[in-house]
Amino acid sequence: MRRTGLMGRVWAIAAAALLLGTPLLANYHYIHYLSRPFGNGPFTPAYQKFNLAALPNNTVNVFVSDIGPSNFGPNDSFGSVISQIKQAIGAWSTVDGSDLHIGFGGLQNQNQLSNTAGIDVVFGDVPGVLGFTVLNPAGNPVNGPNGPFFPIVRSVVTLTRDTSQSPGPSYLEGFFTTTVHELGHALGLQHTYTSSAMSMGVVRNTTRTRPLDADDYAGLLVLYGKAGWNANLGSISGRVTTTGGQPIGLASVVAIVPNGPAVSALTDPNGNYRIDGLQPNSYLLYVHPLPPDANVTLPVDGNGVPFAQTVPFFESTFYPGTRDLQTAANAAIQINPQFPISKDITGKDFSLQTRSSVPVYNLITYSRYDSGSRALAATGDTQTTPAFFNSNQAVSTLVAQAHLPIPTPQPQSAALLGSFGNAYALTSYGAPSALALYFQTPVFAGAGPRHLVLNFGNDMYVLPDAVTLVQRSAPKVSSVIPNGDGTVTIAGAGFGLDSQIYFDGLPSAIVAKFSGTDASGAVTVVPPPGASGQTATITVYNTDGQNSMLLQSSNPPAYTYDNTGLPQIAGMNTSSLPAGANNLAYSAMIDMSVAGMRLVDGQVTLGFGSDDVTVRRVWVQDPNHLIANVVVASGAAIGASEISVISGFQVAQQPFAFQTQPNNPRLPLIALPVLNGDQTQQTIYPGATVVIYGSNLATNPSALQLTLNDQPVLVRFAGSTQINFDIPSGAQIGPAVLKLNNGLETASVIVPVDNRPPVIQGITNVSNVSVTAVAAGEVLNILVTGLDPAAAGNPGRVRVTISGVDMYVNSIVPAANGQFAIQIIVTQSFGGAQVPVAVVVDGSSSAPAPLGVR
Amino acid sequence: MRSLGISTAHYSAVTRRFLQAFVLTLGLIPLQCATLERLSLDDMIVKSTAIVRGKVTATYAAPSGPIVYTHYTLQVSERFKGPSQGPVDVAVPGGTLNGVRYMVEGAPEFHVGEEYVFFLYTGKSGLAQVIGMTQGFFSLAQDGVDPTGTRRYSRELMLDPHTGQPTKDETLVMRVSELRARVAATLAAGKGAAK
Repeated sequence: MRRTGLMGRVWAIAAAALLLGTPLLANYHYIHYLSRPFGNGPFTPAYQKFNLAALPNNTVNVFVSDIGPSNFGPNDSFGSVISQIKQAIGAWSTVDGSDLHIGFGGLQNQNQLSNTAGIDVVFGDVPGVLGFTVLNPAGNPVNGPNGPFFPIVRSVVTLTRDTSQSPGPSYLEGFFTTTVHELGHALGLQHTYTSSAMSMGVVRNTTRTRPLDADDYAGLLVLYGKAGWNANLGSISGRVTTTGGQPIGLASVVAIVPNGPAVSALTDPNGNYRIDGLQPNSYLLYVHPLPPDANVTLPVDGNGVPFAQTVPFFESTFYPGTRDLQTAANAAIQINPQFPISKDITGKDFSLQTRSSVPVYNLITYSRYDSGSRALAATGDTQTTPAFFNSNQAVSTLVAQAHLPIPTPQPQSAALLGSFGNAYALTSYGAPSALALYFQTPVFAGAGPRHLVLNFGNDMYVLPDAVTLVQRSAPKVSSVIPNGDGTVTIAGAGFGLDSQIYFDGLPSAIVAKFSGTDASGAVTVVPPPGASGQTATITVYNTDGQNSMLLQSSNPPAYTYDNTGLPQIAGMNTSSLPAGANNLAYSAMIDMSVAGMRLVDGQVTLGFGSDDVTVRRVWVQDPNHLIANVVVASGAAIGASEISVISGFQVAQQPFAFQTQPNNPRLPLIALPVLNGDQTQQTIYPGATVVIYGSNLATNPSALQLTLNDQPVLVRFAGSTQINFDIPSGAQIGPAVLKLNNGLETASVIVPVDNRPPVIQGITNVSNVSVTAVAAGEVLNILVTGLDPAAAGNPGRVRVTISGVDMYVNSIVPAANGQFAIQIIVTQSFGGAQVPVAVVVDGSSSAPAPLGVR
Repeated sequence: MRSLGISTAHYSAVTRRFLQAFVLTLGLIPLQCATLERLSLDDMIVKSTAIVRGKVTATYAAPSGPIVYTHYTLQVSERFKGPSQGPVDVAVPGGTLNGVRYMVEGAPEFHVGEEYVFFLYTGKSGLAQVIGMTQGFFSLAQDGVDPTGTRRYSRELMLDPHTGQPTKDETLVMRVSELRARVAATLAAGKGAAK
């Protein structure tokens, strides 16, 4: 009977989902199809993914087991391993348009109990196993805005406890990309075949400077995209069948830009597909079978029974059923979501001949460097995969090696998409599974990934990102010189203004930009905070994907930090906090001092060892002192957990030092963040009226005591669930301690007090003449006072809008009388109407100034 | 004008260079969920803490720390390496517990009633696990007193332990008697390096 009840719920949820509209189809996720569509219509997927509604602040935290690796590669350390995991987390947390935030929670006891969903990273010691991910979804679906889904309760990523083995040591790029890949599984993504981060390792072509590719973005956004995430993106859909009309499930359909990214989707059991998340561009479309040994998790029905792959092998073709590149190019699909006709393209169907096998699969590409000259050379002494071509070299050689012997006769042709065209020579290559391909470099070949197409006449194979086109040789470090003032000068060849200097897994801060030539140059940096006596490996990464380890992995340069003592937590204002209640978290400020560490703002992780206790924000007061806002979830598991502070490679930890206590019903529960009462303003500043939401805030308003940095504030409204108060006009800029006593108990949180928004003093044209009316395309100076000088140095914090539309900000420079001049280009007309101009800093807007724009 | 003057000698030189590399990377295997280090048979013999021949008699799932494992209970018929009272319970990550499926792509599955030779490692977790995920076992055929064992090539991403580059696994087929002799010889010789 229980089964009937469950299925009843499942059908009800599925029916509700259908009423919500047509959901997205699958890209490459873990999928349940809870119902069958009518006829050959598309199936409705129920994904396995984290439940945003059940996560604090939409954030899933990744905790790393405090039992780190037991055996390290040369110069490797637990701090370095943690730094790489933190960087990999950062890669997934920067996906624009995603509603899911991914945070690094610090260290955790491996047996820690918590009631909030999360991701754990643990270290295993079984020989031969370098990494795997366990996905733990709930057994029953829940309903979300886009239909039913199966919430992931916990994902566990297991990495090797021995970083002396591949893909370690942790400072190698392979460790980073492997961790990015495993975290992608933990978030609910399966494999793709587009060379993105979620691609099979053999064909993956991501780097530290390009850790995710378009397919990864699309895959994540299908699961976690904000409402309307695809409003400015397009899609291509269609159906894949055999020539006899049989639907082909689990066919991989790929939309690919000849000199750009690829995005893919798998067909459902009826052969339907839809590729979502396509940026405006011109796409070729092709279909291919999964490799014979693909081991993807099959979609399952409402009873958990997998849908079998009924047509495993079929021909690969470009749309519209061609293997001729010119014909495919003529049928390229234009995506431009600004026009409805080119936003969601439908009806791109394939009718395919079945096959008994595939001609080739899982190709690896190689190129070689001459380690002395740093040049790519077919006879070089250093091999790298995936391959690089230098577009300044007349010819380039690519070796492609397959899983099985490549059938004879060899491919009729081998081409690189994106202006290269066919290889002018193609030879077998000793081993029957390998080919050498010789390409002439076209003029203006450009840079970036290029895709390989092997044409076998009656079949073909496409390898996205088979080659990365670069325009200079790989970097190589010649010296690492400490300067005595805490900075380090890195000298070598192949550096540029885009070069980033990494110390193990962390980037350094550049204090003297690159100077010199390609043959010899230098960059001066401040290293990230290091552990006492730590030796960190130096790697130079260029944005073209090359790094100094390509040439120096056998003897990489290193930097040894000074001895600074053992990192430790010296003191904290409290060692326990109560759980929240009634779906409201308990918020509190933490004040902590440390020793043997150098805390650097923006580089510090404070953790409390449990998914139920999360840190919203950390402010570094000085190198040994931090304050933070912490929230304890409603229904948090009661008990002890681990406190950890991580700054750079410095790790201080206290196992079982923090206690989560039962909820205290007398306590006020302050919901974070504290908000500006003016909903158009995103920051809090002196003079602003702000709002606290929560519960138990002022059950007896006359007993309420509210202070900011121990000074009483003007309370404008006080109730049990809301308090409005003014930030004093003379309040100091920076984090301030807000104490709220509801007459029974006191709760304290940190409120960030920012600068007031700037004031527009005037608008001038390029001749510095005041204007009240301008035309689209004109360059203007917006003169403002009160602009935070730090914001002036970080243009990303400053926006200028006209009638709410963002204008292009050209520069921000100091002007007379303490003003700043923000130079903009008026990018559109408003028909001559008077419209408001506003300067927005960190989301808070100046008062508008009127301007006529024709 | 750029020249296309690639000579036969150039081809030969290129071929030589890459052939050297192929000594280390003989092919490839696609990545599934797991990332593995390639283990040779001798590696498996040396790195395992126990090598047993046994028939799976029962299976159950249980958590260990944050991971659920499927446990396979063995009726051990022969021990090639390890203590005489060694493990009879093999743990594989993933499985179904209380109706919830914990997925680990690439984890091996064994079947009740079938016979295998397991290369096991018992580490800090205390669990006896198959080394190298899908690498560490031979399936035994029911073809006589000296059955044929097959170690199918692994489907996971496999990295060469020396180069860190993707590499391929190979299917191994040998009689139990051959495997027994190989284990004995390797242990006697104290071999450790991949061959």
